[in-house]
Amino acid sequence: MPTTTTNYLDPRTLAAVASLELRSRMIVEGMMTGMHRSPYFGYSVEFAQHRQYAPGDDIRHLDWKVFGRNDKLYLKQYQKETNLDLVLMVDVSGSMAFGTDLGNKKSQSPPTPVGGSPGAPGSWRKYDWSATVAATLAHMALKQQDRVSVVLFADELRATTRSGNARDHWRTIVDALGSAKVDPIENDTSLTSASPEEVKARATRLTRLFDQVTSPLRQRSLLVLISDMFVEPAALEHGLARAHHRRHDMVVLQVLDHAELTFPFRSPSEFLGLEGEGRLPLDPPALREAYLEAINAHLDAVKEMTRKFGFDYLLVDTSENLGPTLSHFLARRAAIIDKKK
Amino acid sequence: MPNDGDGAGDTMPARDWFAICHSSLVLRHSLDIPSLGIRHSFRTHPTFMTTSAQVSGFFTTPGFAAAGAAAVSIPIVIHLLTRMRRRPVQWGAMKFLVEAFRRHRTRLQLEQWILLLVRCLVLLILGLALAGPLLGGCASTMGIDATGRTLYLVMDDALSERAIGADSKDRFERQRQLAIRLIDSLGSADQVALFTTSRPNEGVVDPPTIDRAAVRRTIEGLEPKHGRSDLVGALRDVRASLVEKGQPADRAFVVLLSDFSKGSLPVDQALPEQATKLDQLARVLAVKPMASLPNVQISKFQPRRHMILTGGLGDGGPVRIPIDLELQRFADDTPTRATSIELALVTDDLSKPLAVFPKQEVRWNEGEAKATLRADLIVNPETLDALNLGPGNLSVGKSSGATVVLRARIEPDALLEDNERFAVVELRQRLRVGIISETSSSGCHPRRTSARSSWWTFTRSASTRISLRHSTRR
Repeated sequence: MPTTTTNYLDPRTLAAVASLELRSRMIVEGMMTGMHRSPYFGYSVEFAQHRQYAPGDDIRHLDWKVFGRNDKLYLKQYQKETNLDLVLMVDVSGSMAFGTDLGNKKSQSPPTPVGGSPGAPGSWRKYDWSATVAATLAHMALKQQDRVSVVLFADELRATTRSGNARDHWRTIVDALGSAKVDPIENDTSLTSASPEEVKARATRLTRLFDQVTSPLRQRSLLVLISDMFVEPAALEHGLARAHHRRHDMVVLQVLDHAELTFPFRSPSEFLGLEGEGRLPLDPPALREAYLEAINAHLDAVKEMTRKFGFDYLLVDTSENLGPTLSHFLARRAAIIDKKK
Repeated sequence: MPNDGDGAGDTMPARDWFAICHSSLVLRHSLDIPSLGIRHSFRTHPTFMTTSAQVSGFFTTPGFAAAGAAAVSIPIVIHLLTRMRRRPVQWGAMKFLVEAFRRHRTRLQLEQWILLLVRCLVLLILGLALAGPLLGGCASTMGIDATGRTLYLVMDDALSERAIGADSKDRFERQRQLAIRLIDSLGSADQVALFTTSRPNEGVVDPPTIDRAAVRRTIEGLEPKHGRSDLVGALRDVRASLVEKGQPADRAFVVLLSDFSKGSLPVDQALPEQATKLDQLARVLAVKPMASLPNVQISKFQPRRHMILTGGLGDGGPVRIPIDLELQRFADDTPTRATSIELALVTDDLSKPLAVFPKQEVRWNEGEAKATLRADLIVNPETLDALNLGPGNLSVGKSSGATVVLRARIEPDALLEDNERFAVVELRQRLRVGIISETSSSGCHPRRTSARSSWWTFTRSASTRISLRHSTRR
């Protein structure tokens, strides 16, 4: 395979790179080289007003056309460059520890699922994908002097970083993402099911989480929710409603492993839930159709929910190349924003 | 019983023996075989015990059945091992898996059981199929009709069974239908053995089998032979089979199927003790003897001389072939008064007659069973010419003799096979005879002191010094 920049964006390559910082840089560089343009978020530099020149002002901002017509010196004032806070909400719940072992490239068999083994060579968990994307977006936003903060959450808020646009803030973000603990909750007992009270409590916790995230925000912000969205659609609706009510923009990136989308297992297996659901011995082919039906119904519900509030939604298969997926999505988003203007 | 084998009763005439059968055993049944009621009789002694021997009798290769039954455990073991050794998989989207499982739990469990059942059944059925099941035995396994009787059919397939009755069917066909009806009336666990009276035996089913369909097919394929019956030999075989099986006498039935007509079985001869003691091992039944059909048999037909000299020196007269012919008449109460005999000279391949002689007639007196005919068949010169045996054919290099076939035929009667008989006679123009004596005029004679071997050498040598005189003798 020829070595091109986009090859670096192959999940197998990224999975082999242990450093999250290095992963993110590779993605940014790859996207820049591949697209030949900067992937702005749509809040690029905009003209605001004219102001009469005063001694000491930077003459680079003089409007020479006005001077030619009126013989007066006016400065062009622009809208503040960082006009949007970027809040990256990354899911660190147990289910995000699920991933695929991508280490064996020659193997024709389906990728081996892994769970709860962060940093294992070749393993590519959903959280790895999410953290890499978060770091990449943070890198691009900071290059534009946007303020960026990261929120790590599971059932509740786990960790946050301050919002900032300093040059070294990216390292803070990367450190936060890299040090996050994505511990599966293992339950060796037989299958357990959530009670209605538990479901209601989860919805409440998710609503409270959105309140906790959005309440400190002083201005309209862009929230990027990166999660597998294994929550009740009703609970998600409450959270999204809070963000929409506070006039924040939101991007929902639903991250799923390829195995979760296709359920490729054939031999009898014992499935162990990563969020304390217990064990389920199963003959996978017998339940494959029913499983796919259930998860597809859920995906449709989540998609419908985000579209209902006018938010952007992207379903991501972690086995696909990360760069093209992300750049395509950002370009489409930029186009939509331009059209709105 | 008269045939218990004490003292002088070691052997007894077969005619008496049949009387014993009829009187002491199953006279009522034997008199009216269509309403025999064997099946009903069998059902009066039901037993629901199934022995291992019976089970093994259900299959041609019981080992495969046992292997199939044992193989049923294989899918069960695999099933259990699979449950014990499932590969653990940590799964993120457990929520949806659990949801799908709860929705289809009943169906999944049902499928699991059905799958296990089907796998077991496949192996079991495969084993049973390879074992060659005899389906008739299945019912007895379930205790439906486990009587376990054995029926020994002894069928007379001698020449007399070819006799055709008024219904245009031969007698053997009637025996065949009776045998099949008997087999069809048996219970599911009953076994059948089949013996025939002609020798050598063909199509005999021994030891008894539960595969009644196979016995039925064998009987349907049987044809009566052209020989006599050997009832003694057949009964000896039945006795040996009975002894080997060791079944109680009330569970074994020997049924003799024969027309018992005159000439069919050697009823006038004494039966050996082994045969007369048969009813100690089994219940013996016999069909009602049929009435003898009017039948005349050419029992003997032969020329008095097997070589006839036609005379090749030119006298041209007819040639006489003296023959002896013997007729035997059965069913002496029949009104057959005379039998016309057609005699002919036919070609070697019996296809066409060379000469037909005048019909001969034998008249029967009342009560007469045998008749003899002595006659001379006159062969005219034209026939001899046709055989190159006439006076004009006396030349060197031509054939000087011919073998001809004489055919005797009577009118068709009940048994067609004994209405025609052939004899072979050699016709020669002349016979060269060399007479060697010590006082031969030629002086060629071996010395008196010569050994016998010298005589043989002398007669075999083609000596030109021997002068021969030709003579013709008729």
